[in-house]
Amino acid sequence: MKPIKGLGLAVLILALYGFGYTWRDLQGGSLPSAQAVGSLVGVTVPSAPTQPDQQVKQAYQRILTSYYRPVKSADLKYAGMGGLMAALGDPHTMFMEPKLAEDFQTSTSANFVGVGARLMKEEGLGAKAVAVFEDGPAYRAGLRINDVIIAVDGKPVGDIEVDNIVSRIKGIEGTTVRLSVLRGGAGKPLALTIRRAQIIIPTVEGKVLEASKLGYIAISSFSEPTSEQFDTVLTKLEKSPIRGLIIDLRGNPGGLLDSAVELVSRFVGDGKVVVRMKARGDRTSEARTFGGVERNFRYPIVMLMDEDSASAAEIFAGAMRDYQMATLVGEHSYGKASVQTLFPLRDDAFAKVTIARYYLPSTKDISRKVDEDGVYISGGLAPDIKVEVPADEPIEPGKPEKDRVLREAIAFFTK
Amino acid sequence: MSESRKSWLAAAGIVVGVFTVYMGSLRRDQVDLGTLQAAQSGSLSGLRADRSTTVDIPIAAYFTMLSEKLKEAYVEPVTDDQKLASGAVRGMVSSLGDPRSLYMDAAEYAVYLGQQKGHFEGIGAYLDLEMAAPLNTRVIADVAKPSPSAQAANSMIPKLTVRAVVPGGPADRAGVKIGDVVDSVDGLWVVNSDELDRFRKLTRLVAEKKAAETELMALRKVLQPKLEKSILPLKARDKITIGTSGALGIVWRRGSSLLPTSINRAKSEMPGPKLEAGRLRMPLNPAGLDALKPLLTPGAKLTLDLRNNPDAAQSMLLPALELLAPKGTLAEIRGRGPVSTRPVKVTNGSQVKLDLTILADSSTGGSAAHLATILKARGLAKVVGNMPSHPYVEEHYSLPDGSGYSLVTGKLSPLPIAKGGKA
Repeated sequence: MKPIKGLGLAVLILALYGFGYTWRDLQGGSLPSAQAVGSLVGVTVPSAPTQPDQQVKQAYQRILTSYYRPVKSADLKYAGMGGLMAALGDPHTMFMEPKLAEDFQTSTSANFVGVGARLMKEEGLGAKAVAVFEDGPAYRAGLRINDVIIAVDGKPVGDIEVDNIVSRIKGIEGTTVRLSVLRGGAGKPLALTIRRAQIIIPTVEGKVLEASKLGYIAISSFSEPTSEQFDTVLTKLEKSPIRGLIIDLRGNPGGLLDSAVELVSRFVGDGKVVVRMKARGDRTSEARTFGGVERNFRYPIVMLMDEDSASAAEIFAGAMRDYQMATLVGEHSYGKASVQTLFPLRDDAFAKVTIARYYLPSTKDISRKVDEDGVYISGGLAPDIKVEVPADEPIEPGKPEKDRVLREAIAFFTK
Repeated sequence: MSESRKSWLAAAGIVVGVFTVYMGSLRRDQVDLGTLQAAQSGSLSGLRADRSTTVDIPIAAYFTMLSEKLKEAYVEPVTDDQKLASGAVRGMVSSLGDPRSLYMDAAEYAVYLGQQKGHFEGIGAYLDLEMAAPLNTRVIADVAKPSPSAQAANSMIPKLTVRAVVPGGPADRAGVKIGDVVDSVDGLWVVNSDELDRFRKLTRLVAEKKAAETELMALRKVLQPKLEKSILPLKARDKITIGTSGALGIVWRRGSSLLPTSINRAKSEMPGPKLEAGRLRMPLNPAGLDALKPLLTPGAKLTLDLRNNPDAAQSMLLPALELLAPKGTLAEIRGRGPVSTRPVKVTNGSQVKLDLTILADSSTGGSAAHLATILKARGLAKVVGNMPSHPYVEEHYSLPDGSGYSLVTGKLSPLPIAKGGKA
């Protein structure tokens, strides 16, 4: 009886050891690999190359347990996923971890809770309002351009950075903020109480260049309200007798493709191809203009661009030129000839993936080519009139006396 | 059998059972990770992400999920899972921002392994990535906004410094010396922490009104053209250390002067073991140890030349100590926490008393530096020469596509004599 008891005990102990050994596999709902069992009994099973997901897991666990400095597991995981997506060698396919994804969404929908003004540092005093959005609460409460904000909620802001002043003014929707404001001439500061609200950042700003009688519209990006804002601004400009229009796309990084299509629909008729997209397996699709929003342009149009004009801005400018609606002035554009989609993931992160490449109506491929060190070789839209700006020349876009490219554009109309 | 005896037995059974399961899982950790450390840290604590508010997807599942997404949606067909896995490893290792923990592609990894054995390509020099303080990326991007190389620079801008030169190799013949810094390669400026750091500091001073804006503009005017024709340090190192043909135009910085050179890439070898007048040039490899063995006679006066061992493999430390030190725990490798400290333990050791002198300088690195440090601290050898401290213990791991990565797993610190017994 005794030896059998002893044997039973030994078997039990072995079984428990084996259970501990394979616990993690069983927990994950699988059986241990042949390699793992082999190394338990001291036999090296010729290993089939480790599966890619297991290699990643192994490196992840190794770094967490063996690296000599502490590493946050979530950060490490996201860095790995970033590397995975970067491995395709496409600079526009990327992983966006939850925090980043949130910021990105804020910037494409162009909404944030503030009072509707753009501020600039006013040394020693506070912040000067360089733009006050006419539909915004600040404007309704009486804030005007060039007003200087010297205190927020009773606290002086003279020696505070402008970013911090802005974050003091921003807040929860529906709450109020008190601003003390100096206005040219007035000796006593004005007190304004403003209710914070959802602000739609204008992406379109315009003015009439009086000396040359030209309309000037700068589009800073393509977001949801861009085309409507364009209509509003243009209608206002056309109240003056303008003899031409300059659309400034410099520094415009693009944005929503639909927004570019809506804009092109203002200039050419219904059903015209704006852009052709080629997706996986040569599936092609086209984005076409739609009817009902076309305007009548009786004057020539010039578009300004530079190397920071990209994506939707290039589609807009390229399509306009292909339909002979505009002349392009400035430097070659960036050359981003691809379309990305954001795929939401279960943990609030996003995968931004290039799903298609685009081609202009003239079927030109404008994608940027770089050498192995990332230095520009070719790509982008070539300008009709090339204007190079020396690197150390100060520019104030929209002011002809301080904007070489704009001066060239004005000269084009006088020819 | 009494009741109390029964319950004691049952309790003992449970304890033994739980312990056995634990030992089993511990053994598995060892097998999976292949490191000593996992066994000592006991459990794999900290593997769970610490964000309780969001869904926590385990890394392997995350990898599979994203790979599937790319295969389904990306504009080109995605077929190479290995490329994605290596990319993920690259991402994780680079996020450490550590010049000694690096992901290397297949060509880089082959050169890395070769250098540990004394085989060199390129110009025949060992180049260290010396890190300065982490940089503010935004500032770099501001210097030359559209330059993608500056954007790719991220926060990691080390400088490339020569730590060893293969005697008689191409770099040696061109007059390259230890301590020289690579300024440019084939006309491309090697983006360098010192100057960008200066720019960053000046930017801050100007913002605080402690320096004039004109000064900043002047520096920017110098940096801008450089950044437009620039190369990142790791890429520059590849150019310099990989390949066996073609000429390179390299400008070196030595102190305040610039030295232009043209050097042909070729194979070169660190010298093998050589005994001359009681002085042994010892590469820290099996051949070097073989040359050492016959010299270990009691009272022998011996000089070990450990120079030109810039990156001796970690695996050579214990075999060397077995020959030169008595048994016992001579040092510790300290990892992240107290549980991850591992002893450097000599099992048999040698009782032979020697009059030992070690020659070491900045070309003494990796386990060669550790050997010198331990022997000195234990009173077993005099160290002559100016050897910078190299406490980092670096392990390396390969991936199936031939690429690999290095990882710093601890810092070596010799134990004082009192603790380890007789000296």
